[in-house]
Amino acid sequence: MIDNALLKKMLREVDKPGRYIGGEYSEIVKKKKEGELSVAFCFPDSYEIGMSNLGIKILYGVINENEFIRCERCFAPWVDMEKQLRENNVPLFTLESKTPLAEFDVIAFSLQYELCYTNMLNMLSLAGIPFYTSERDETHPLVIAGGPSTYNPEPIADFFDIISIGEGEYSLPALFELYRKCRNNSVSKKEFLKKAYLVEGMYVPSFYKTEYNPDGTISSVIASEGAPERVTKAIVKDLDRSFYPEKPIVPYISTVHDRIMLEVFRGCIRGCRFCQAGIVYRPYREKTAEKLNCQAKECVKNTGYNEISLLSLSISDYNELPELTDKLLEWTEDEKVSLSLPSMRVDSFYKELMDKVMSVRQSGITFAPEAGSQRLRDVINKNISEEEILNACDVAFEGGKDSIKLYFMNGLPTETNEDIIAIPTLAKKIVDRYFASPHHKKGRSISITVSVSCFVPKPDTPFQWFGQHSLEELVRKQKLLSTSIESKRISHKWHEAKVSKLEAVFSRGDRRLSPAIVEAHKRGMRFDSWDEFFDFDKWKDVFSFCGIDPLFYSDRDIPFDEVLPWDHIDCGVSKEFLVREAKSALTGVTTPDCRTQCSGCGANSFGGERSCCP
Amino acid sequence: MLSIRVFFKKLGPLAYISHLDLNRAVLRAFQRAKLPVVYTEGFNPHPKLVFTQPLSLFQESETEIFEFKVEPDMPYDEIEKRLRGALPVALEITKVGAPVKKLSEIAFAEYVINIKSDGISADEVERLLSQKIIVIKKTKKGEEEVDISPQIKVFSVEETEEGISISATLSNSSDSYLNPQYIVDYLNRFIKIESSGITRYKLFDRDMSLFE
Repeated sequence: MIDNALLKKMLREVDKPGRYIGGEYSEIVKKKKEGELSVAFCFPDSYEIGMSNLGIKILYGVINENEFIRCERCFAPWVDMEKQLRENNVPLFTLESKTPLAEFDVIAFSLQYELCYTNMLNMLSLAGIPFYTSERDETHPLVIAGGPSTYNPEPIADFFDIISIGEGEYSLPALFELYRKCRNNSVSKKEFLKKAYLVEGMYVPSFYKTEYNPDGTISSVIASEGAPERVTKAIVKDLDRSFYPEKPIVPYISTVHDRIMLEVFRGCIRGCRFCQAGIVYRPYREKTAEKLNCQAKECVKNTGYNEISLLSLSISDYNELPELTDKLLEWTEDEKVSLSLPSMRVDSFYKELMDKVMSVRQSGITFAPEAGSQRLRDVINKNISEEEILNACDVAFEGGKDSIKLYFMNGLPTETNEDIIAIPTLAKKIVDRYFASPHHKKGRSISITVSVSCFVPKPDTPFQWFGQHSLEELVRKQKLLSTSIESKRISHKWHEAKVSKLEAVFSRGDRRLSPAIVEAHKRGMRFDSWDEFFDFDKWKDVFSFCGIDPLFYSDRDIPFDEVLPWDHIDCGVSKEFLVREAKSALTGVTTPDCRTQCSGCGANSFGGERSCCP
Repeated sequence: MLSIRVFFKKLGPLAYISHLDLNRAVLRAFQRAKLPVVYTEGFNPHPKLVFTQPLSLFQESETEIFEFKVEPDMPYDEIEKRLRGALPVALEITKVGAPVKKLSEIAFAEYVINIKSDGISADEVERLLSQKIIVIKKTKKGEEEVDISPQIKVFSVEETEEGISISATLSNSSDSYLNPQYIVDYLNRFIKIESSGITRYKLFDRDMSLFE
């Protein structure tokens, strides 16, 4: 345990000390006991981000269900706290029992995005744990990872004993119980790892060897020690019966999403060709409205939150949405609890839904057309028409909304200048529509925010083979967009292209990138997803120091027949389907959603209750 | 409609959460306790919840108060039971009951300020606190030099194993409030303070009778 007086002294010196104290309502504090397995669950970003993550809440709860497993939390300390820890020689510790990470049996990282990799190493460094699997022995904790960015685990594969592919609430309890038994029976780590890959979704990177062609591409990935040639992700079959955190921790300090997150379904029926979540969470699986209503009631009772956010990739696709909102509204109004939706598709946004889930105080609404022209929307398989966008805006105007935010992407495959200019043109049409609307009130105006991010080719998507635009081209298009805006009522926000460039490098990276992450850590780089710390020039230096051409990973169009670094990870959707989709994109042919017609992506092989697979 | 006054302690980890965070923690406890709390009227109704003079971050307290109303009335022991079950463990309730005097009658608060410092005598600190105490206060107009000695009603200093301990009764009303941190900052200009801890112990009215 960390010395209390020293901890007090350090907390004096840092911003938001509430990040490091634990003790929140519903925190799970267990006494150490004989034969237990201790797990430090690590989130490589700030407390406020980590505590907003539903996955963390689920895993923290489900792992602690086993009375012989003690799971505690640890977040990346902010730079001021890191300074205190290093100056005072205090190792990184967990919030619950203030125990140093190195004293745990397992260190488990949740990796949500590529730009947290330096934070992940920084946390290991603060814990005094060697980075590479090959540098650790029986005396060190087992270091594992999971999360969305592990669908391409290769850039970080050399750091982890095991990487959990897929939905951890299904597979991690089994893995931990196996490790607990092995360790209690003095089974060596190596012998345990040979059993570990028998648990669904468990990838043991040290059992795989990558071989390269002279041109730097991969020739093959060879499995050894009896490990499977391909690791198939684990999924929850029946979400109604799966663990849900009905008594989540209620933080003291305010977090990014400080509300109840009610996950309505997993997966997505849409198949937008740039979207990784839409593919890797397949098959689409729903919860019943009845179950959701019970979970929502329990959550409100146990947390005291007064807002429920209905969470899912495309909420209006939920079969029982009217039933669910009706059931919720029966009691939420009396309890002064409000409902909210993260984002809505324009083709299924209707007045009644808006009235149910949006308070009159909310003056704005967000839609995601993703591309400005119909041609490009067809390329990305967004499957919405301009008329549907304008109609959705009409509904918003009718509901008294006078600010609309629109999400777009820049740098999509096949994108031309005309596609970029179509973005402000569309925004202008919405402005005109507002002034022509019978719901436009005299003296009131409209504000449209056009928020544009840069396309990043993501593993397991139909666009995984398409190179990202060069940095110069991304910036040129951002400028082109800016200068094409003619209305004062339209404002333009954009993501830093350099950040997206780095993201693309790691998204499609392979094992040769791990030395670069280590080198970046050595040079003090961390919190790369935070504008105030991100330094692209330093990253360029790191790559050149390590002899890596980052553009080989980010900018290159990859032939369909090339071996991809993540080919041995099976996300459940077949490569043939992805190739078909990529080819359809190039010809501008759209694919219907899964409910209209099954396109044979392969995810149906998983089964799953209340799915839409045939 | 029933008014409720709750006395509680803000100790240990609670010293690291701000007043705003504390406010939110209590509001959430109301919801969990299913208390029929009275809301404000208007466009954006919120529960009527009032605290005593907020503590700064890092300060602890043995005597804090919040007040609220319920409608319909409920027995005080039922309210206490529900609140105890719904508040975070660290937030310890000491008394729940009907308000006697108004919160606005609180005039003074007694603090203990523990200072860790090598070779400092109680006499020296006593001397430093017995003169004009000029500190720089940040106001809306900018920084201002102020003598805070009139806001110190009484004080005593004693030596401890680690340094000194000051017991001081300070102005603590909405018209005149002295944050005890000013005393620490002031002393720090004359003596080297390694660390300090501030705890509020008691609240008094204008006549120096204990506020209950």
